[in-house]
Amino acid sequence: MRSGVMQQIDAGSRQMIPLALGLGGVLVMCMPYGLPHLARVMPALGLMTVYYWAIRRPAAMPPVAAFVIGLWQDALTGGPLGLMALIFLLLRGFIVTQRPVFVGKAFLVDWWGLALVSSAGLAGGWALAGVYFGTVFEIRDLIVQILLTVALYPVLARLFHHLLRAVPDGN
Amino acid sequence: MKSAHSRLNRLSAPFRGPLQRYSFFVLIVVALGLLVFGKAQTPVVAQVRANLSDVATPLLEALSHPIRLARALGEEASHLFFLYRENERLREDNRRLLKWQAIARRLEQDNRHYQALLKVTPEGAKPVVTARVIGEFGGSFARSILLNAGTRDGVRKGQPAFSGDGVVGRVVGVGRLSSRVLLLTDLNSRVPVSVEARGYHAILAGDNTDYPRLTFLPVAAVVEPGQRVVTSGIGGVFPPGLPVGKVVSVFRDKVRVKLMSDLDRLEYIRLFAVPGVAATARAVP
Repeated sequence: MRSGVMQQIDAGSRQMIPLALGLGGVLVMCMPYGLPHLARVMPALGLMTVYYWAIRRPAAMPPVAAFVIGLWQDALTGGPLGLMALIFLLLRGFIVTQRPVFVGKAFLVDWWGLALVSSAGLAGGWALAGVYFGTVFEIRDLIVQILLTVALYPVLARLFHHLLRAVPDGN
Repeated sequence: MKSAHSRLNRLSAPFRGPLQRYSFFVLIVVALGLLVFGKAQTPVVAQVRANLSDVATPLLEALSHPIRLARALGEEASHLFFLYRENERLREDNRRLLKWQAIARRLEQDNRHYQALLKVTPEGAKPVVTARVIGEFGGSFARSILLNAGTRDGVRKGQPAFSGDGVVGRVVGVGRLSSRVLLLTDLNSRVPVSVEARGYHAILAGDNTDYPRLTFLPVAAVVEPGQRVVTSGIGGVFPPGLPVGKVVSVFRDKVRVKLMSDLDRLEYIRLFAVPGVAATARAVP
């Protein structure tokens, strides 16, 4: 039997799994794959991580975790610092209020939700960056990025599903 | 396990709600603040970014090993596939280059002779450091790469970055272990260049497409596809004469340039000392 303190540390570290997955996902997005154009349309792994865990374990994806994942992405991608942090925060807030719609429903509902949320999030980031830099960015890259994100979600959701039981449900 | 966890929950429950709600608004304000201060180019924001990049550097380096292996294997396979044709091409190149070598030797000798006559001090730019690309970033609104060399290795903000083939951009952010290079294709990239043959001065301006534009060309300039574009050295950031690209299309006042280096496949980058700042760059360990 482990002591109470150890159990608390154990539970605490398990709560950090979604944050670690989000930070890792952003790193994977930034690898130098050497494939033409891939960097511009890279599926939004950080956004998908925030979405998946905010629905299933909102306590393990608190606002600060969404913020940190977004800030990490901003810092590494060289985009305006605070941009994706803001977007992920807003998305996390929105997703948590809509949880009843998704929890316990078929995967298709979940997937549909991701399609809506990633479209809104990525288009929001695209528009905000346009305002920030005072220009209109190529919309084709944005559309391809949204499509790739939606296409990859079932794979990522399947991977995350194996970790779902390891993360305690805070509520 | 369960009981300890639920006790923890019970204890923290009254605080968690308001704490989360406030943290949400506080973080929104922080994010907006970062955006505003970042836009105003506050050094603190640049420092935050550089520090986060430094944290990511060892992780990216570790992760990049399997990727490099896969890339190398892929290139190997395609080389084998085109071996015969490649060999023919190289033979042809070799014949051509030998002829040029003779010419170059003679010109070099002439040049040395004239320089000695004029007492010119050689200004050849020396690379400060060669670094590996450990991250490439796009999204739809930025074109930059992350290198595994920072202030520790003598990298300074503003240094021009060069691949084997041509100029790729310049350093815009430096951490201790890592540095970020803004590529020539990025929206915010502006590099003084000259168009060879006639020596027109212009600014090469990135616009997030693969082919940056030549702007501020002289009104009477006659530019044609195929003309070489090199750095002009004006402004003092880039040494003069480094190859940049070739003019590919001229459509009314829109002149586009195809870059010498393939920005999608960068692996090693050489950074040059900024003329004039070179001495201080080398003095710092």
